[in-house]
Amino acid sequence: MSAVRSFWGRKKPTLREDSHTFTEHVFTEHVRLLAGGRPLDEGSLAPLWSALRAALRGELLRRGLWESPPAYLGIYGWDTWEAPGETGQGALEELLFECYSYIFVQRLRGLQAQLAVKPNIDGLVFLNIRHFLHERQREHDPLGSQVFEVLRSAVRLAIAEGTLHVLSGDEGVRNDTVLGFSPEARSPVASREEIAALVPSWNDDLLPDLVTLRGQRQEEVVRRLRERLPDLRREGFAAFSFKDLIGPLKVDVRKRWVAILDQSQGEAVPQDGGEEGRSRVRVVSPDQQVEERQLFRWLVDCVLTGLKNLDTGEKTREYLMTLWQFVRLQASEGEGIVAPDSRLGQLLREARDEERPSMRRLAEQLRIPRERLPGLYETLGSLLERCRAASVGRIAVRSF
Amino acid sequence: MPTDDPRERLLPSAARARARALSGGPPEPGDLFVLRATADLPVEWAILDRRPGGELLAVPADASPFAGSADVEVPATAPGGPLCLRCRLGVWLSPGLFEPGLRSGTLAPETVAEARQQVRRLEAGALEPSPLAEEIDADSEYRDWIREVPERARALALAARPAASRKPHPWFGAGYPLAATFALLAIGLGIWVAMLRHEVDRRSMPIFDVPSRNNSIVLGERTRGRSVLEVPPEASYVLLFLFVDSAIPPQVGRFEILNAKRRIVWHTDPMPLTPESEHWLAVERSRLPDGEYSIRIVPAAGGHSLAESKVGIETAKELPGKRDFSPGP
Repeated sequence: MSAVRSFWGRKKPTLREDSHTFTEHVFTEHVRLLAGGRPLDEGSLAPLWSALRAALRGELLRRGLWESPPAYLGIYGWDTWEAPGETGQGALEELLFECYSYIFVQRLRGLQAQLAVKPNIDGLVFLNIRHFLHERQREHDPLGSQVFEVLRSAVRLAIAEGTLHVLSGDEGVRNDTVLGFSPEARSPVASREEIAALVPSWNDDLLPDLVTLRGQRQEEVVRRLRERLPDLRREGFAAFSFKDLIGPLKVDVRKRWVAILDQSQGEAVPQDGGEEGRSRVRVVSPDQQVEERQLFRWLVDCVLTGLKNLDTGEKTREYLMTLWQFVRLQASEGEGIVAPDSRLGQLLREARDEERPSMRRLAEQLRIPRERLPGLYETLGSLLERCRAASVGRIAVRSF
Repeated sequence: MPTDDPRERLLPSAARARARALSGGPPEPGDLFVLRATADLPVEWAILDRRPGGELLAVPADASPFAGSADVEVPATAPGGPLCLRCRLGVWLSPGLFEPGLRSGTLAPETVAEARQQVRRLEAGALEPSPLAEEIDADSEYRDWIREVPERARALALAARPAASRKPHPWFGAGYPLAATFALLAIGLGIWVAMLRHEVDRRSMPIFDVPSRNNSIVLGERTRGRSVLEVPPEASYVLLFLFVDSAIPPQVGRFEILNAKRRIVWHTDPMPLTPESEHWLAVERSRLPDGEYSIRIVPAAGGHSLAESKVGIETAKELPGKRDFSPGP
């Protein structure tokens, strides 16, 4: 079922949180209030705030993000979404403020426009919550987003071919989807632990392509992953839930990827390799973040375009593409005090300046000959500098 | 001369939008509108161009964060933003569809120029997508979104053309070869099913549609036999116009489409059925591959169907009446 249908098809927009019951169309009423230009008082904001918090929490749960570190959505300095015993503060509250701004400030004009043709726009607000989380996840957890995208495409391909069947849940393939190798057989169902024992062997073959092949070439790795799915049947399982497959797959990818990300920066490798907490905090204004993200995307795109047009052999281009996607992930995943666009250059400089033993591990993981890495870093550094020079002035003009 | 101060560049557009909204003037390139025909979908329409005769080139615009290679992204800081203009789905529409009271904003002239340029590139097959845009093109969420929102919106906007009618008209035999074919075929017990041939080309330009005055076919009440709907090979949607006959008593029921094996391939939720009410359906072509189908109304309380009609769906061998709707220079 599509995002739109599931939201627009909601019959009862009434939300419940704790002991409160919210009136219907609370979001619609809030947009009307904002449109009227009347000052907002605490009484009018309280139900809206509670409803938005409940909706946001529900969507975090649905997407399997509630158990993940808030850093995956760009909220730093917290280990969990809710601080025990405290209300009104914590990672969820931070996210809530940003979500409010995303929907009721930046998109207010669009919401008001829709009010002219429909009496209830609560469904549209729910849709915007999904957009908000999707956008942040892509931005701050590119690794997890990419693994989800490839696995989901592989599962959908198998469904289209008739080798997998949706037994229950969202037909569009989401966390609640249960899949089977025949339309009838529903057991035995593979548990998360059983799947976790299987997926490392998949990643031996799929990485680094699973996270570095993008665009049209992504289809290659989608097909390879789709060919792995019958392994579950060979292990004796008739069905599995998408959530129980994506979870271990992500954890294993993170474990391997985080290891080389941190080693290449000379840092310690986390022992659990998965949902480790993060502690560094970077405080910047929202406007600054928007500009940084814009510049980061522009630089990534510019270097990718440069690589496409580079006068070099195909093998070298492939190595450069893989290494650039790695650097891109490295810069996005980090949440330190340096902005992502600056981190690109910093990472390339560090890689060129020092001869690290971790380069051997990096070469193994990326399947690039060790001796080629310095030259490849050099080429990427030059391209990045050229793009940075070309970006001066351009981003500001593009913004408006 | 453009100014570097964003506020100075914003103000004239914002002021213009307010003034135009208040004045209720006619729709013009640069305007954003919501349409009643697409009110069920989270889209606005951005008008990019006007051609002799008054028709307006409009593209669906939505606030999804995905911007693929054919789209123009309007940032949050620009007039009308944040929006994505889906330039691959541009369509020429009657100005009558754009109600002055439903004007929702204005785009900056440079945004309109960029979007028109994008439409021309698509027309000419000269699009050079950036690598990041190609990544979005390959994203399953993006593909789902385009299929379920802007493509459906385009189909609904086309169907909402003022010329559409469910009654036979003198132009019925005038220009459309399939019309005569349909007219001779019989359908219906309690439903009139008028089928519009449509295509929404998801792959590339040229954008094309068949004007409704030439392609809306009305099949007579209580005729017998079956109808054949020929669908262009590129079509990704089939538009169905269902009309509830006056003989059907008001009640709660649902529409169903069944394939030749009598398996339900599509249905609505239970809904109030009113005699002589009209319902437009845009059904994905993938759900209706070539074959025989039955369309029926079933009471929500259960029991026999209230009405049932048969239709065959076939891929057309050629595209009669295809017209180039490429925007002017």
